[in-house]
Amino acid sequence: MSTAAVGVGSHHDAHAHGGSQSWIKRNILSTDHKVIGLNYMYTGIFFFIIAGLFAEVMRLNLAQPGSKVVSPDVYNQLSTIHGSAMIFLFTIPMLVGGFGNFLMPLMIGAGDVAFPKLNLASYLFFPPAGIILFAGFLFGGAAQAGWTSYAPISTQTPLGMTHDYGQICWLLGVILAGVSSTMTAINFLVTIINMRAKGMSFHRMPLFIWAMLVTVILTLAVTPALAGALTLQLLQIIFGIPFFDWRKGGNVLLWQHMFWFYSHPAVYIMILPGMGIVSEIIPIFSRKPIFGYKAIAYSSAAIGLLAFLVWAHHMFTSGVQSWLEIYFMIATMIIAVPTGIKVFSWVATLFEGNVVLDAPLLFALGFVSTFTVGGITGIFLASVPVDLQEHGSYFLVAHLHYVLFGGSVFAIFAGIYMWWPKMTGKMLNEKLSKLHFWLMFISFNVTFMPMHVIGLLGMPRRVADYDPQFGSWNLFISFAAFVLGASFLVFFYNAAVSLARGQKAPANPWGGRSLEWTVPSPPGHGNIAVEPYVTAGPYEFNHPAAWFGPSESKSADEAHHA
Amino acid sequence: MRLSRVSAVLFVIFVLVSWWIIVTPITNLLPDASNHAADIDFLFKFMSVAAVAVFLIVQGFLLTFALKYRRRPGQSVDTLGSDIHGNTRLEIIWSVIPAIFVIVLTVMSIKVYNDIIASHKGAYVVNVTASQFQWACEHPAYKISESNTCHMPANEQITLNLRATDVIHSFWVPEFRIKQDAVPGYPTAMHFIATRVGEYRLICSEFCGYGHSAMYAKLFVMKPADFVTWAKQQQSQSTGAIGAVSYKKDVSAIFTAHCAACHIAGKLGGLSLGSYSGLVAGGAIVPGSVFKPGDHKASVLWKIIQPGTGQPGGAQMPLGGPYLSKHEIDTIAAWIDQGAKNN
Repeated sequence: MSTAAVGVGSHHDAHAHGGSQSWIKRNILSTDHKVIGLNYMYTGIFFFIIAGLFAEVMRLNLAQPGSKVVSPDVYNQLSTIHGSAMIFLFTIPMLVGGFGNFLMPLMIGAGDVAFPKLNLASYLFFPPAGIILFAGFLFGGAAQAGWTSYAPISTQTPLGMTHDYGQICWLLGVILAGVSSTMTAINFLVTIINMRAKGMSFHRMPLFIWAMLVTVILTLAVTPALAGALTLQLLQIIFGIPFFDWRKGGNVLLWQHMFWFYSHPAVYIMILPGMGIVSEIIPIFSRKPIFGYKAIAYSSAAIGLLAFLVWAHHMFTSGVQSWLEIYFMIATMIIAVPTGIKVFSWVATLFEGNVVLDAPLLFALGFVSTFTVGGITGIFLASVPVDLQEHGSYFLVAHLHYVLFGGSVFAIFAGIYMWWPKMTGKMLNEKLSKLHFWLMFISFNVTFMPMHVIGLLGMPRRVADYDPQFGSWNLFISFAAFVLGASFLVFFYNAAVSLARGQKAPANPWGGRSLEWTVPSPPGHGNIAVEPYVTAGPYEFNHPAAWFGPSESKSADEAHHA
Repeated sequence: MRLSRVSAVLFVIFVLVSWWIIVTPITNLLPDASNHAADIDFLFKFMSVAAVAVFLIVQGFLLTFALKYRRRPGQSVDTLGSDIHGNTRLEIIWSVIPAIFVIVLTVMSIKVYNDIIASHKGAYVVNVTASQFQWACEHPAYKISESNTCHMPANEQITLNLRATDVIHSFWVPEFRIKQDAVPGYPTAMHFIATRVGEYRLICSEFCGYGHSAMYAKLFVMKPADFVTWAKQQQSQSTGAIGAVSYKKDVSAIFTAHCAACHIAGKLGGLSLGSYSGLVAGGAIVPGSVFKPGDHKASVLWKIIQPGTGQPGGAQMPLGGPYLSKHEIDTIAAWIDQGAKNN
């Protein structure tokens, strides 16, 4: 842990800059992890709004069969960019770049991340990645091959067009986003391993840090595979090298293997930090320790390991060998076990608590409910025979939104409501926060639950138009989707009022026990005045004395273990 | 306490039974039309009931705990809950039970899956070619082929050989409960018995571009005797000479079968083939009326469907194939030569 002491001290001195610097240097080019984290969040939410509006236009087009709000090629562009932006420009940067950056050094008692300049560099890659991904709209049309960008639809010049600039923009944008998250991952990995406060053993790390540790290891392992696949596709489109061209000896399915080898772990990159956020919120708002700390921590690791072994369950109808399908079915089914352990442990944490039903907990419990639905429909899709019916249908659209919206987005908002006071120094209006939760929770379920049924009845996904028999279902879904979109207005209003004239937040408004609650809201530059010595885990509500102290209090730690 | 536990258990049983009753009509809304459908439906319903049970248990405990242990008015936020860190026995139970459950599911699934992939000797073969944005079915036994329709006999073992010419498509008849991608350069197959006579929608369920939503065909499952009659009739038709051609009856049917995704549902290149006036108006890439009455060789419509190279607009239509049969091309030529009337 000697690095931690050196790291903290040197960062503190190296950029103890005063108020004399320019606005840009303080707010955009700052190497402070908190500024970078917030910038990730602002940028991510900006893309979330745009991609959300795209979804509303798609729902408008789908409200009635035969409607011509947008033409089929524009619809395909909207759906491609909606999916890509939500994943690469919102969920991943928000959870890892945003929450990870802001919270991780505070939670482990470090002054900053290990490589602050690398951290700034990875943020600076992110807005250009987003702009390039969207830039296709300026060159005749954005990418329209779906976020999975399957060959050969992605390598084919779209019908009615003379070039494929949209797809090239998409590829370059996603490559840049990948470069950005790879840099963040190595930075976080080094920070978590080397810069934890003295006394913070692996088993005293907050569960969010455990989740982040697994997430960055996954990111480091698989993002280069995605970059490789994207580069191959780029080489095929620009120089005609036929990696995925079956006419010239390439292989169409190769793309799917390379893509899902990244994109299945990417699902866990998007859900594990969310699980970490929920694991922080539930004990604090139940006023008692998390149930099964080690089980939750190790199940994150187990999910991380399984993430590498299941990618071809996205390819059950592609025609891969039957013995392979059976293997991937078995491996996928096993994921239910560690996921179940987490869900049961969160529920058990509420038992005999003093449960404070404030907005962060409501969003966290909303996460547990909706994510459970997404997890359960995941088991349906893991069974090959059932998948043969549901694959490529609206059942899948429902499933993935229960996981990524019901899961990741609910967790993101749980986290925003939880750490808003820490990030901004202001409190949010609790009544508006609860209103946002109930509007979002109800309209979310009303939007996506019926999609299971229309999928079962035979409505394929990624269609701009559909059989008239699904007309009334879709009209109903579209109305719900508009309410869902409108629910976020409550949040933006609440946020604006809070920033303008919100009540000042104390250092520890919720009574948390992890280190980020020991510093002022918002924390000052360098984070910590005195380097802490951690003597217990972060959920020891019943042992406030034996929790942490200044670094001299090593004897207190020994006393605690005696 | 004991009574409330009994009633909770009774409640769960009640919900599960009613769910079975609810989910059955949902799957029944969609008739089962292949020999695999019943097995897959059973698996689905079994999982569905188990899923609802798991959901009710998780959700029941979550709501019960959240409400029962919620902070009461007047109770301080600083009041702590019980100092419980875990319970090894409970944690083992809730790891082992789901593990056993997914093993059972996997075994059940493998059994059904092995039936689905088994091929059978002497099956009736249909070669299906998918392309943007249409389906073509070839019947090697009768040496006939059809576009955007697909006929097959009921209650006979069928093998579909799937092929794609341009991008990935997927063969899905929801009533059959199975689907299979058609992958360029990688032959795939489906094996089943169509069990219910009727007309179905054959849907493309793998995103394939501009006309994806409009890529469907009519699939007919016929009584075996009717099927043989139909096939023989097709054989004689394909060799017959062409008489008087009607725009409304013959020519627009060809457009609907081959050109609809781009030129009826859409207006790609500015051209709509949905009405006679659309033909006269022509498109943006090759301007002007698509036909010259009385002279098929001078008509854009005829030139653009010819094989080889040098077509106006640069590519043979329908783009990427499958292309029109000789009989269809001759029908269009005859219609133009007969004056290209709106008859």
